[in-house]
Amino acid sequence: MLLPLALFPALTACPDDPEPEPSEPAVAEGIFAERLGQVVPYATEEQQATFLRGQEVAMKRFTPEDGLGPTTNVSFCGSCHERPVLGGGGPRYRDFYLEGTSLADGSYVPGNKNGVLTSYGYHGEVDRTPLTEGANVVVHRNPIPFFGVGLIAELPEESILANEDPDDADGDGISGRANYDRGFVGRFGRKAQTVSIEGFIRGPLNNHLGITSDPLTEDQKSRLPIDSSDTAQQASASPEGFRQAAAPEEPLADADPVADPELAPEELFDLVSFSMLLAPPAPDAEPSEAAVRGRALFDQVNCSGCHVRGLVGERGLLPLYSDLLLHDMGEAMADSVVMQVATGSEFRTQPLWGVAVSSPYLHDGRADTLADAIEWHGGEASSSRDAYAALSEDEQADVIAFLESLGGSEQRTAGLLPPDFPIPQPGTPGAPLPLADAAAEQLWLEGRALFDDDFTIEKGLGPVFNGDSCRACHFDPIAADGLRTVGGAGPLGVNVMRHGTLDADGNFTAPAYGTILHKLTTFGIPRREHDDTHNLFEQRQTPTVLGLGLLESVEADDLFALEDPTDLDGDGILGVVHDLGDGRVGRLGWKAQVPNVREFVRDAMTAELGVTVPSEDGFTYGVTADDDDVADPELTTAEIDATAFFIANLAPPMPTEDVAGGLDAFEAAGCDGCHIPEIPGSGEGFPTPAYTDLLLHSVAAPNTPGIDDGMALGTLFRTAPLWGLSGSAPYLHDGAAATVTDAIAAHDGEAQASRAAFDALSGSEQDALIRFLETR
Amino acid sequence: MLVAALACTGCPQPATGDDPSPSDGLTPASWTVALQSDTDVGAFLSVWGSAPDDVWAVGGQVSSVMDPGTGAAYRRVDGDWAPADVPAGTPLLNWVHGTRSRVWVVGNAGAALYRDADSWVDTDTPTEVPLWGCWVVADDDVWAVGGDTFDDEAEPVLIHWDGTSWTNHPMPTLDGRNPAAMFKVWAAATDDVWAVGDVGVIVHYDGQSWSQVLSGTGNDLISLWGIGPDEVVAVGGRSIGTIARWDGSTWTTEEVGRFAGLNGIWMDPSGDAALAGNIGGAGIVFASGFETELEDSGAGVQVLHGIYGFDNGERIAVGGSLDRSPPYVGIIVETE
Repeated sequence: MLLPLALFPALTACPDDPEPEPSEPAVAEGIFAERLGQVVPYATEEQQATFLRGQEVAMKRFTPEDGLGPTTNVSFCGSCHERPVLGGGGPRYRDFYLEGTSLADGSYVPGNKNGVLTSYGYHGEVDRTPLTEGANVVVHRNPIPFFGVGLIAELPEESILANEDPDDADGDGISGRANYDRGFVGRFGRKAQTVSIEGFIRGPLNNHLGITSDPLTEDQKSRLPIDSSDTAQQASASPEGFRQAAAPEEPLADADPVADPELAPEELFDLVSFSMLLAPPAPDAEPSEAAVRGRALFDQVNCSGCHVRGLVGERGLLPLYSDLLLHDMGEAMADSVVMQVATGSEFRTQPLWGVAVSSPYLHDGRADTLADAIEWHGGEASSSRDAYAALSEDEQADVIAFLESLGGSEQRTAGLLPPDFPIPQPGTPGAPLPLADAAAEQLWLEGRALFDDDFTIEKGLGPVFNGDSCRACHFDPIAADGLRTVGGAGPLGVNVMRHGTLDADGNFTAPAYGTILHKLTTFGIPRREHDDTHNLFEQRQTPTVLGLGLLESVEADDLFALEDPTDLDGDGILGVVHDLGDGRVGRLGWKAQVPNVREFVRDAMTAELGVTVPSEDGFTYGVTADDDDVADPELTTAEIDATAFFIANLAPPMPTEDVAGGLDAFEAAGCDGCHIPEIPGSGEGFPTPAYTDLLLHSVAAPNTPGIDDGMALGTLFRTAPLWGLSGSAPYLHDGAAATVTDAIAAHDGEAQASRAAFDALSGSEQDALIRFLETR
Repeated sequence: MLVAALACTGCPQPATGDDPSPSDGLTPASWTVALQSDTDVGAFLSVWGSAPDDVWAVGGQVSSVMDPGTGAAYRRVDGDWAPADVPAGTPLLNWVHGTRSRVWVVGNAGAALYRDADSWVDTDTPTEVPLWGCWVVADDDVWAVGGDTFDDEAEPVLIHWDGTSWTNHPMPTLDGRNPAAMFKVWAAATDDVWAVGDVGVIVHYDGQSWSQVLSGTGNDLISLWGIGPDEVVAVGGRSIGTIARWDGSTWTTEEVGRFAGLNGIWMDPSGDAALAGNIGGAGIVFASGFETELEDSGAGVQVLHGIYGFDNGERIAVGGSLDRSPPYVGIIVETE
């Protein structure tokens, strides 16, 4: 081969000198914050204020009354973008499904809600959204982190296009091509299907929450961190540079009765700004020796063929380790979903900054670990995968160390609690009852970790599940700093769906697999779908487990003493103990269907996580074997010990405020007929009233259908304890009441007289009663 | 595929250096803004003319995307655009087409009107859903198509005017797609009619019944035009330009990333097609293939929704702020 003439002087002038390395652009300065979740350091004072407002919008709980629905997956943005902090990705329990139909002519038609399969229906929609008729593609998606997206938005298109090699002209087996959205190079989403952050927010808000919005106005666009107004665009020689924040999109409308747009325009502005101002993960300032070696190996095996170190924008090089291009990842990774030019096997190179805290990995969250993720790479990445596999174990560990050095690792957590989070102080939600000694503290902490940590597929999660940890559903209230209450209640988006068949005579039949219609599955397992015979659905709100140990301590005799099944006292209130028929009485759960905390753990681990439990004498709840690949039992007795100990020793929620006249109004309305403050004979040890008799009552209107659970037929529900109301909205067994007032108004049946009495109270008495309840 | 960046198209160069002429097909042109309408008028959705000296642009205003709205029409006579009356109560008008003898407009709430001499005649359609497109084969042979894209349960509408009344035609059995609407219709002859719509549905009428012909895309197809039974082009894609071409036996589809979604098409007799789309997108797809060229339409970021042209090389595109919240403003751009 003849060398180009121009190279000869350089080669001949200094034959002994090493060939000069091409200079690498400097990493952009002033873009990193100290920790993930913080604002970029270059934000103006005004932008910092916007950032804080945007945080609030991201955590705002939407209710059906706000426009949530008609179909949804979750009720707030922070549901899915929560790890390790707000703005991140989501654990596996936040996976969702894309659904569509691949047709004979090769076309792909997204199904359901713009291609998103939703789990809940409101406003008269069916409770559980069924698959679109004919759908033959149902695939997982794991939520994607937002850290640094504002900087990615700033990248000029040329920076992305420079790495294109669609026909593999250089013959390295790696091609790479851009996706396009509205005429511009796409850069956000698993398939780079979106060009603008505004679109990347408005779309999911609509698809996952059913919250409609109008596009940002010109004034708002001009105030974004990147001026995206038409004026700025028209004044620019590079108009595409202004599309990455806010591309024109149409107003959205939906079929629920709430007026569109359901998101206030300034809320959208704050949310988009917040996202754009989230600082990117900062690579370790002083990477370990292993990480340094790993970086060289990363290049050696050509991971950097797609995961290029960075792309250059006006601020310098952004070390995101992605070319933002589409690559064919092979058949094993393919999902059949077509998005613009992206085929079913093409995916955007996922940025690796912050990868240490973004498990599970890959577009569908199928990989528990980075090593697993590498092994799944195929297609254009096959040679790199094979080269990685050929490395020694130590070298592979170095590569992983390098990846983990790319930001955020100090915030890595196996659940959602920050690493080494201490035992909360007494009086704080999630604090324990007094613990006897250091050993007890240690066991409680072990139990808390088991409650908070995500169960991986390797640990036995699934095959069907609702949550991948106990905390996945029990985390409310969330403090202002984002800290979850491990053991708390759960919002609408984690409601459990129960279902079955009610015949014409009112007889309920549960499906063979039980009444729970699970929301999720592990990778490769189809979502469980109901069939046409199932005509009764009931959501179950996640109640708090704070204080459960105290409820367990109530003597059965004290409960039986409260029964009045034939209304002997003529007050219209009956109440029966849920006698489980095996010598035990139920007291936990919406239908008092569980007798104690240990059974509660066994039941929930199996029913909600798909984790099998060991056989234990005297305990009957839970399933001891399932058909996933993990050996049963997937939980040890010691792990159940720790988890049960943690729950049993969680202090009950404490009132947040004294409300003058509140208890008087409560009693005047007769609420204490069922919600008795203290169960006679069992008050000892309760630091605060529970406001329950733990009995079953029917508080629904006559002929309301309901799902049976043992002797708790139909509409019989346990009197819900009222402690913790301040942090456990929405209310009632199905979460149908957004407010305490709504919950009172929904009481009927045995509670009819009390509701009428409440209506008869004076305005100030009602206010006092509502405030009293809201602060329990 | 030849794609030029928007920023480079402000100074278009003819591909051959020759003066454009009908036989040469379309060449990139300079565009100027002929008219900008305010919120009193609204946006324009369609343009058509029987000749360069008699061109109609129709559209209107809505208060929300669910509102049937108020229709509006402008007419260009002797080079000047001027408002034209439409009957009171006419909803937003989505399309205009006609012949030398009769102009038809269709719109929201099943509206279909034709112009008889100097007055409009309202017709009684068997539907309340928006009619998105119409094609006039003859005074007694008119097709209109539509559907309600906000109603999940809605089915597309295909209706035919026989000179006296409208008749519903059922949608054919489809390949698993579930469209809510058909958007445009074009006919080569009475027994050779095409309609395109939601989720890439293309249906054909052979004089007896409608049947589906596979498009090769799941993207919405918004509009179509043809120059004969073997050369028909459909365009669409909400967020990426999508072009489908019929060669007499099959439809072949490609996506053109540098075009935002395409809404309008008109074909020159040469087979070159003029395109109009989102974010002011205008351009040409050259005959028999998928080679495209972008043009700077001068419409800025406004949506161009309809386009029409004449054998003299002139093209007219219309649109407005249709991707923003109402009230809309409108724009008409013309090649110089």
